[in-house]
Amino acid sequence: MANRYWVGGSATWDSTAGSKWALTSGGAGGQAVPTSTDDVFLDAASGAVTVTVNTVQSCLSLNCTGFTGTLTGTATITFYGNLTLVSGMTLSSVGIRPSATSGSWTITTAGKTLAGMAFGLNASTATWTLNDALTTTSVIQVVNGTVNTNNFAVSGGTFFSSSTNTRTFNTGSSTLTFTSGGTVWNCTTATNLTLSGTGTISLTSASVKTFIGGGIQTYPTLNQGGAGALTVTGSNQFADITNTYASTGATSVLFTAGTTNVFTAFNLTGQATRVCTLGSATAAQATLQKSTTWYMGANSTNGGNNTNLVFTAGGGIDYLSVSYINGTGATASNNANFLNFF
Amino acid sequence: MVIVFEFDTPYGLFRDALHLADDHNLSDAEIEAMKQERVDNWIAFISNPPVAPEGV
Repeated sequence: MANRYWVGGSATWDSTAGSKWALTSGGAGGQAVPTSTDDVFLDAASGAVTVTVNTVQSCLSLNCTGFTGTLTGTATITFYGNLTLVSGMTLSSVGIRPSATSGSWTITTAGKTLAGMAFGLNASTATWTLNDALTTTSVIQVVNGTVNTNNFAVSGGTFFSSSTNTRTFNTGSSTLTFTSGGTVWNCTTATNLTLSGTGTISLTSASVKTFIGGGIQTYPTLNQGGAGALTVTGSNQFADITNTYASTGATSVLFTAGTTNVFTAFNLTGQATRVCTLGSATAAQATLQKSTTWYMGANSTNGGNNTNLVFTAGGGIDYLSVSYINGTGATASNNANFLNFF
Repeated sequence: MVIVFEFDTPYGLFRDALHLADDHNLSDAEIEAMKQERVDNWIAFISNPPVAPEGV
């Protein structure tokens, strides 16, 4: 293990050592190209230069403290230690991939937007802890190991963790925001996935989107944050479900027929003129379960094919249009209003 | 030094951190501007996300 400081000016980080690398900050170049056991430093002494990565490169930790230049390229830097980016640098297009197979490491991105983030593509027992908010333009994957968001905001296009690999995603109280349409959350195979946290998963796309829950019973709050209809698949359990898009417009939340989704709280609501459609994705019932009566609100609409829902005020939600929903785990069938609506 | 900060926004709670050198010479106003820039950039990303690059 050694240190490698970039002293190569504006040049390409590739397999040619040249005079690009030094053992000390601002030192004499000519050292070997860093490997996965070497810590790489782009620092103040590197200058306001452009370092281009067009072929896959490796290092232990990548530390850019003090760097004022640009890190760019079409390839990926696989790092096996810590990542430290700084606000004074420019990060453009290059991929940065945490690839440690063991140990505990930190990720500091300093407000930079990454192209994507795949934690533990190789078999790994490593733990990565965020030191600040993480934003990527594409997919965030938890493939192996443990990811601790450390309560910081996490944002990306989509989330993917579908496999039988042993992996843990500790979301703490983070707001996790995913912006793409289509399959925006994919935990199709949730075997050996531990998910914990008290924050919120917010899905903001204006396009139709699908949350493939994979049957996980420990989801935090799920938020519909965009105009595109949200379909939830699988029989999952959530802390809560909300709809912040209600302040902007109408939207929909649908559940796959035949599934049962359990909620500790249920605060999915629309607003006047901005009704939220709640229903099954097809013409057969989906079951929603919570421990209290399923009051749908005085201004909600019974679209038919519902059971055990009470269309009066009392549950704190309103302005829903509901069809093909079976509410269970409640005492609705004992409510005096029940027969008035069914 | 680390400054953890958060903003309660219409898009949810945004929590982030500034990692500054212990001997930084930034004023309080400059630090507040850095925090605001972070949340502004986040809101811009959430409300108008860039198109994801291919193959990353």
